[in-house]
Amino acid sequence: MPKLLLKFHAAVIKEIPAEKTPITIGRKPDNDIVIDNMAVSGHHAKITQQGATYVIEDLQSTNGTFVNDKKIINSGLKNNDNILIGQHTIVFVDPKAEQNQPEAQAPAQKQPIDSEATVVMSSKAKAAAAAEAQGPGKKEMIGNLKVIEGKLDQNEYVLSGLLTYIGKGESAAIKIKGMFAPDIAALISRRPTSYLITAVKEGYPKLNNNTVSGQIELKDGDVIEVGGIKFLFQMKEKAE
Amino acid sequence: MAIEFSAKTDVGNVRTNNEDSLFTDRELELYIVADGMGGHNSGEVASRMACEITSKNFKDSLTRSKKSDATQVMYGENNPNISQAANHLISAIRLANRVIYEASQGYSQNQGMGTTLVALHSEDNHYHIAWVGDSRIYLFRHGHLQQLTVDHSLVQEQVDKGLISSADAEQSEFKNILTRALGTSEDVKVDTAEIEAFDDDYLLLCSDGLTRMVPDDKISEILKSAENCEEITTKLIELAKEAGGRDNITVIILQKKSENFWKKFLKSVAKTV
Repeated sequence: MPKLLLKFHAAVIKEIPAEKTPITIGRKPDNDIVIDNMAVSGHHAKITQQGATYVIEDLQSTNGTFVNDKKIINSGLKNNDNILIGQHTIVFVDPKAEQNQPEAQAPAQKQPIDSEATVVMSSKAKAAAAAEAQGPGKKEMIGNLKVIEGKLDQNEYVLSGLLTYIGKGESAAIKIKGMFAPDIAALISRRPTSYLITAVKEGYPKLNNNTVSGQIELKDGDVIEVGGIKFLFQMKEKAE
Repeated sequence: MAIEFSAKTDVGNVRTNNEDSLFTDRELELYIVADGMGGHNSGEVASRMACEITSKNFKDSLTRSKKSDATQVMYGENNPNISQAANHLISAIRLANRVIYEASQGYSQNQGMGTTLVALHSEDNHYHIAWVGDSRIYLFRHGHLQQLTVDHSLVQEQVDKGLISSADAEQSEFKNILTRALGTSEDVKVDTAEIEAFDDDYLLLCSDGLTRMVPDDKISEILKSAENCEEITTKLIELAKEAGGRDNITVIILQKKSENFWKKFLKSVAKTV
């Protein structure tokens, strides 16, 4: 079965199997392939099956339909044909057609692309996506541990490392004292937007007065207790 | 550092060619996985170039750094916060990026080729890791699996901005879109981290052919129950193929072996003499 790859610039957005025909393409939601872009007409184009051939037909669209850079009214589709509609491209992929065709007939510059293939965003597409995906101006946040009970060599620790250990041992960045304190009691690991606490010594660290076992995500305001020392976990804006 | 490892790559169930490449060298203590992309066979070319150029340049610069009179050429800025070896590794990756980029510009059939890369170098008591793209490095320690790298992908950016949840990311149709890769632009930003090594650590370097097919908790289960590195790589690839094997699968497992007391003692003596 042939399939259609909907692309925006270099990025593949969607793979559509050509299960049934006709397949309509346009801006309005009643189309089979909806491209919500002002350059696309409400009902822009249609793909039908005529015998063994798939045919694309322009539905008198305002900005036209192009197959391999040629403006068309209707045109039979070959494997890897590029259908340009506005700024979007639909690649027609029909492996069966490929077998019947000599290599030379394949479009010279365009490479076959399948939807599983990984693509890298061009900087232009990146800018477009960034504009679309503009979040509420978030600053980079970083975790802090503030000592609220007990005494350590620092009052506050910035959790900037990927892994921060709490314990008596050499590798612990946050050192606690005491005869019975373990070398490593707990591990705090940094992920892109969150922190996890792992009970390295089962049952040793406490989180909000509950014994931690396994791995738990930390929340702003959590209180961690290790060997008589209490820490307040806070997310703060990263200092420049 | 005493390390045991096993490395395997598999074409998967769907693809006809393997665009992944890997590199391992026990003496150099360098391990690399690269996942190439691009039409025709340029994905294979890119990932192989990434492994070869990075490892060769890294080796050369380590050799040179042992000779006091040799001149060192660093590609890009030196980062004073990380070790010299890590700086050499990053410099080698940047150079690989430039070479792949120029190769893609020079030949039309290679246009748009690129590759991801994850690299790990172990030295003294640390692991240096560096990465570009969505291949990953995981650490298994204290019975927990921990992802050390952060994907350079559109969905990861969306998660970071709080626009979608991690669960949404799994389902996203944009999963294939990378925001960074080697060979797709003139210069590349390489992310890096240094981590202290512990005895009995497991480290996993892999392409997304594993992580898209096998969830983290399944990987964790395998690591918990397996006897040796060889068994783990075999099982992980089996699992990925059972789940569909839609992409090439590459897995390197490293295990840090504990040194016995006498070895440690001799080392410390050797250091003081």
